[in-house]
Amino acid sequence: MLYLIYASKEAAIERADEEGKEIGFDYWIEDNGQGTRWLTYPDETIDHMWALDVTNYDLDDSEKSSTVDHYTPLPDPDED
Amino acid sequence: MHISLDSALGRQRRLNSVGESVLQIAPNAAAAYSLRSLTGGDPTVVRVRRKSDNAEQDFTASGVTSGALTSFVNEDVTIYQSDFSAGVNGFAQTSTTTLTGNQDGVSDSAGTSKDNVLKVVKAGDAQGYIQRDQGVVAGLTYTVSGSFFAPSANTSVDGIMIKDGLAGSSLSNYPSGYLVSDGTWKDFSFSYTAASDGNQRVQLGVSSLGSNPNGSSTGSSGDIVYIADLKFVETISNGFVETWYDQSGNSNDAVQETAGSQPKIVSSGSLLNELLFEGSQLFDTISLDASAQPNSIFTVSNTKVASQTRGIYGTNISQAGYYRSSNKHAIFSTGTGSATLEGAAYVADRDYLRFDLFNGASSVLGVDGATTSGTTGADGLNRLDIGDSTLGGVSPLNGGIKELILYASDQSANRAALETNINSHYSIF
Repeated sequence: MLYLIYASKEAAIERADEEGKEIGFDYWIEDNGQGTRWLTYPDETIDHMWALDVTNYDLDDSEKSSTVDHYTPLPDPDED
Repeated sequence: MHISLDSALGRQRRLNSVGESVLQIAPNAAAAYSLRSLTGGDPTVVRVRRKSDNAEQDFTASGVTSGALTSFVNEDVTIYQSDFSAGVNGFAQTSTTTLTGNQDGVSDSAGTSKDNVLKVVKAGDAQGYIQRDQGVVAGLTYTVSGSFFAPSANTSVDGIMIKDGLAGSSLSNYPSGYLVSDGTWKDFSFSYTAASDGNQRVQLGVSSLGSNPNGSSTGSSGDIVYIADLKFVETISNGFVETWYDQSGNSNDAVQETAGSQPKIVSSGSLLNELLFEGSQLFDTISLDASAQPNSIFTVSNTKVASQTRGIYGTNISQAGYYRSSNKHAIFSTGTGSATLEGAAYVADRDYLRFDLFNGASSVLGVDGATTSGTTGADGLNRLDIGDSTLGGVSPLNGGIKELILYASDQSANRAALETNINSHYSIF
């Protein structure tokens, strides 16, 4: 898996939106706010950054050089 | 106002009347999901995205049973149509091939001429191939077609073979078989079910090598093959659920806008008759009006994995129904009396009809008509997570959900009638 790490959730979603438009998901075609919007959605990391799974994204060279292959997710709350 | 005899006598309702739907037996559900009609009409039940081109469509309950949903998912979709008018269209050359796009007026000995052709020149005597990932997915079926031309001036190369994404040079990895050109343009078409994702290779072939036409051939360097109109059509695909519509009338639709997190409904062309969650799929949290206990949840579900804690649903920040690693059905709620209530044992790959009643010390975990009573915490519901729970340590479901009906009330009185209705449809026990 390949991830890009973003400082904010908004920045990560902006990149996810860009990919969703590129793929042509229904949300962007129909322009009615309904339907699939993203290929992947960011997850919060343990240090409160945002990791976006870009394994199947069409990355530019700058992005390719910035990917990481793992991250530590924010832990779950208490177990039962 | 009609009052049934059972109700008038204060007794538990024993059976549903013939033809009564779930929401006629027990109206006022907070949320209700299924692929069948729970209303008695023909409601829209699901919005499906097909993998082939990401097109989406809503389907009613009758559209599921009629085959319309499955046909939509399996509609022929061209996932790749070559365009060599400006270059190599994403094909990668290897150390033993050189590629050039936009070749016009490529004529064979029969006088057939094609424009916008890809020219592949063998740059060594070793195996020569080009490759590109057309988006093929293992388990799905494709029809591949195109044209190619190996000039008779070639020393050795006289054909091509198109490979599945599998590694290894076995001829069984080439679903095209060996395609031979006699010095003229040849059209080809074949269908296959992919065994692997990844690159599809176009291998240059040499008939004189006999049973090993994809091997090395001394003197083959410099031989040429032209390729045109290469097309991959997906004919059997997968379908995913973008929305599972709420039939209760409360518009609490379960939505998943992220493709990678959508549960599957059609797998390799076949309707699953359930929403299949594969360990990382779930719907977005649905916010519900806060409601104190008691509340009741009927589900038809299964897990594909034993001895793992896997959530079916969550109804509060730490309240859930799930399959527990103890191999028992379980519910849990925080609040006063916070506790886990375990029910009957489960096994993998078997549907269960559950009646989960969150009601403090009088809670119930009913599985396939049986009853386990006990205590859970006293928190009420205020949300719904399907395919997961917010309970720490509970992983997303690796299994299927066929039906989920949530009531912000105690439905013990309707339990028998509802279970009769549900079980008569699914034949679970």
